Amino acid sequence: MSDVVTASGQSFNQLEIDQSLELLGHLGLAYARDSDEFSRTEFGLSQPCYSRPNPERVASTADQSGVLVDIHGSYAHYLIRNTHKALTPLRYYERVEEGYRTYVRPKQGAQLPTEGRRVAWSPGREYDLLAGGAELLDLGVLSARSSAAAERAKTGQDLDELDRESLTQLATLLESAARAVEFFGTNGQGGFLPTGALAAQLDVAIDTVAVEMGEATDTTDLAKDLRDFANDAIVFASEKTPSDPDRAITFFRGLSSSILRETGRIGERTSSL
Amino acid sequence: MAASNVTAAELRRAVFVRANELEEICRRLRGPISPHRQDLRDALEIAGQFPAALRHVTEYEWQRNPNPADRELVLQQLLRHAIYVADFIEEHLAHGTRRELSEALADEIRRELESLGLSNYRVVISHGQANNFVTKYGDFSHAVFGPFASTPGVVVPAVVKYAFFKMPRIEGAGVAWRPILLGHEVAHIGVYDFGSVETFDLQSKFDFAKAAGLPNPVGPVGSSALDIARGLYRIAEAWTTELLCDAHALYRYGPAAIASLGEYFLTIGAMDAMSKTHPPGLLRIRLLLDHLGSIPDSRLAEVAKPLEEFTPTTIKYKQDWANFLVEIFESNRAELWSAIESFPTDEYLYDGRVDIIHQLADRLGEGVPGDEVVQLPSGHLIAATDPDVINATWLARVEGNETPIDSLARKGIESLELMRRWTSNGGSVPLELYEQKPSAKKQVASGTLTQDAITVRLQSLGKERLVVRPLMQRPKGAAFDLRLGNRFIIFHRTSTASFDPLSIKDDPRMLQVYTELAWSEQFILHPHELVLGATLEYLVLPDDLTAQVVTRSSYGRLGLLSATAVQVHPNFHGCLTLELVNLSTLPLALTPGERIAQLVLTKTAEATPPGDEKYSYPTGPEFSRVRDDIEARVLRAMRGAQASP
Repeated sequence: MSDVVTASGQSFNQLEIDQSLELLGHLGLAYARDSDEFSRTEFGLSQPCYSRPNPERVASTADQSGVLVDIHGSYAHYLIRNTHKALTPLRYYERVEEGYRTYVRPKQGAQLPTEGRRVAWSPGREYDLLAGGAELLDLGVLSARSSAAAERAKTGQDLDELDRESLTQLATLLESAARAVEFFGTNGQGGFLPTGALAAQLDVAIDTVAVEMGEATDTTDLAKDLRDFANDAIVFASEKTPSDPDRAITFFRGLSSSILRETGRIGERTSSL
Repeated sequence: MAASNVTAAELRRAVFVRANELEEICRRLRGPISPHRQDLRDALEIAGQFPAALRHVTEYEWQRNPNPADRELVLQQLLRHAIYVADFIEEHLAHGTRRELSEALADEIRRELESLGLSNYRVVISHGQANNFVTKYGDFSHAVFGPFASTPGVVVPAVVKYAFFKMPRIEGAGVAWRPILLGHEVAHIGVYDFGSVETFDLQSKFDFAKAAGLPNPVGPVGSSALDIARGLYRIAEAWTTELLCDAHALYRYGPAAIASLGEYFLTIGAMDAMSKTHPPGLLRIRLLLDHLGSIPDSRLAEVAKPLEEFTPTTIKYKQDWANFLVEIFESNRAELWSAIESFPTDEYLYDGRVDIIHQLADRLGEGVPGDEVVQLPSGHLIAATDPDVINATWLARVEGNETPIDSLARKGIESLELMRRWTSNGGSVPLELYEQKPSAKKQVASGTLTQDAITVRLQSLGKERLVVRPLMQRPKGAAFDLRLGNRFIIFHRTSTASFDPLSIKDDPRMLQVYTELAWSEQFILHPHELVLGATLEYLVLPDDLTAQVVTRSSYGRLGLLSATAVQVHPNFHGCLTLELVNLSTLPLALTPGERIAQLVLTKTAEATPPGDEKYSYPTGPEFSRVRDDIEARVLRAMRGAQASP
């Protein structure tokens, strides 16, 4: 991987060039190496965006923050320039090429930095109370309550009925998520297929394990992690402490945070006529 | 940043501020709503209980979670929930206070839900964006109170199923687009309740291994094969739902479904747009056209022809994942229809209704709402149905008729609904008056028509025919009773100092507002109040008849004065506006359908050619147009000349 030096003398290595791919991934743009075209996503882009990952071309449009991107369409360029700072540095990810597709994924065993906040790219209006929102909000409160209950159990405090109920419900949901992972991981041969509102809840749970915890996206590991957390919730509910209580509590909190991001909005929409 | 009690305390205050405001908002919204809009009132009642529950849960969680980090986490969730409830109220419950959408439309939706066996869903309608029909349905109580259900001390209202419809102003109430509202949107609830996506068995048709190799717009960051397949399956599920709803629209409305959906997609740009929730319009229309096949009747075939010519027979996209999905549905289209055919609703067998559709379309082209009972060429009488009227609407439109087809068709649909309610509640209909036949009786030379002469005119053929729609009673004596319609123009309080009828700037809508009642509602006319109503009946007078409207004495004796603008000219087409005044000392509760006036018909000495009517084809009361009088311009000019030095 060779360095690229810009006209202004700045030097960027291939990893930082690759960071642009991660940015595009965060924006939901699928990158096809042999194609100039990116798919539009629900992230509100009104024009298709094109990228040519030629290093010289990329270097010629390096922006001040050190992230290289050459995207046709000023809108996408603006978005990337203003969002890249929030993303986890690429050194925790690896680049994978599968067929004609290139993408990045968290490295196996990578320890993600503890500082720095994860931000969500707001998907715009996606949920309301009767369109998936209620179920996600249910899960948000459930995971927040479970996190608090687990903390109490860990410190030897008594749990009340609501605590136990929350942990038990969360355990059931996580078990369902594990089975959903198995379904897709076995091309529909195993597990079970969640539908409707439950699917939205399980999606968030699965994504939280995969992204929040920096866990590998191998389906077997993913299902195992979900089951482990389900078991941890059951252990907490019986007022005992699992083997790694902090890991479980971190996950429960992460799930609650994921819901807050998923259901969040920018809160303003302004454009000139 | 460490959690702090200061932050947690502020979050708690934020929740309370919103709870208190929401409580007041719900009270304000619920207050002015008529008791007839019970579903909307009850939805606001449920939402109005949320703030108290929110405050209770907030306090409860505050007490049991002394740890500031736990407090912050839970309170943020509660705050988010409050905003979602507020957003839903604003979106779906805040518009119903304006009576711009008739409850009669909500009744049509209820009737369709009942035919699906889903009458347990309560219905609220409102206007929304021009480019979107939005339907949200489910257990409203759970949606509002779900997270609180386990909290001690919270009483969660019982399960209550609701369906909220937001519709564009133009297409929402228009008859031509009923297949979208009643065929497609309502079907979403059926598809959900009946598990139609599972009936379609998408799972067995979806090649997960192949899907895993197709990047798609829903695969999350660093998408693995798992994520790609998962994302693409979600899209497939959503597309299946939409295609099933399209199929239901075709099932219920025949060719009109394709015309309405296709035109709407073209209008809003959905033909070439696809998303994770909706397949591209071209695919949807192609599947419908293929299922419909060729329409045997050449005249009716014109309804679908524009879309047939516009839609390619083979559709291919640049994105592999899109083609993957298209292939699933094109290969399994028979199963899509099977899943809908299991619905409890009846299929509209349009090919057996062609004569009726033709006749209704001809009527619409003539400026008549259409017959509730149609006489076939064989002479048999048959009741028209809503899909007949809707297909006739499209037929009249594609044939280029310039009459106000949609408003006439709306009148036709309303008349059909009234007749259904009338007959199901024991009312009778003089079917013989729907028969058209030449009469051997000599026509009246001049003078007032008596009941026999009126009957002859009602049954006449051609331009001598007197049209009354709906026709619910026989003439009696020397008059024909007229009923009160369900549309009114009422005065409202305003800060305007005065109103100049001749002024271009003074629009009657500054002091009057139009309103429509459902057939189950009453209109309360207060003492000394003046409102504009209209006859239920849509009249067409031949060129040799004129008429006068008089109050029925039974109502006059109660203080109701129902007609001041009494003269009806030859060639008149429309519902008559009635100036209604209550001269009694008590409010009068008037029911649409009451026979409050009489029409006295007189033969003119000679036929009158059609004139340039200021009011054309009215289907309800009309606002004054005196400022459009020819003389109004002259009078305004004279005033202007007087005012200048």
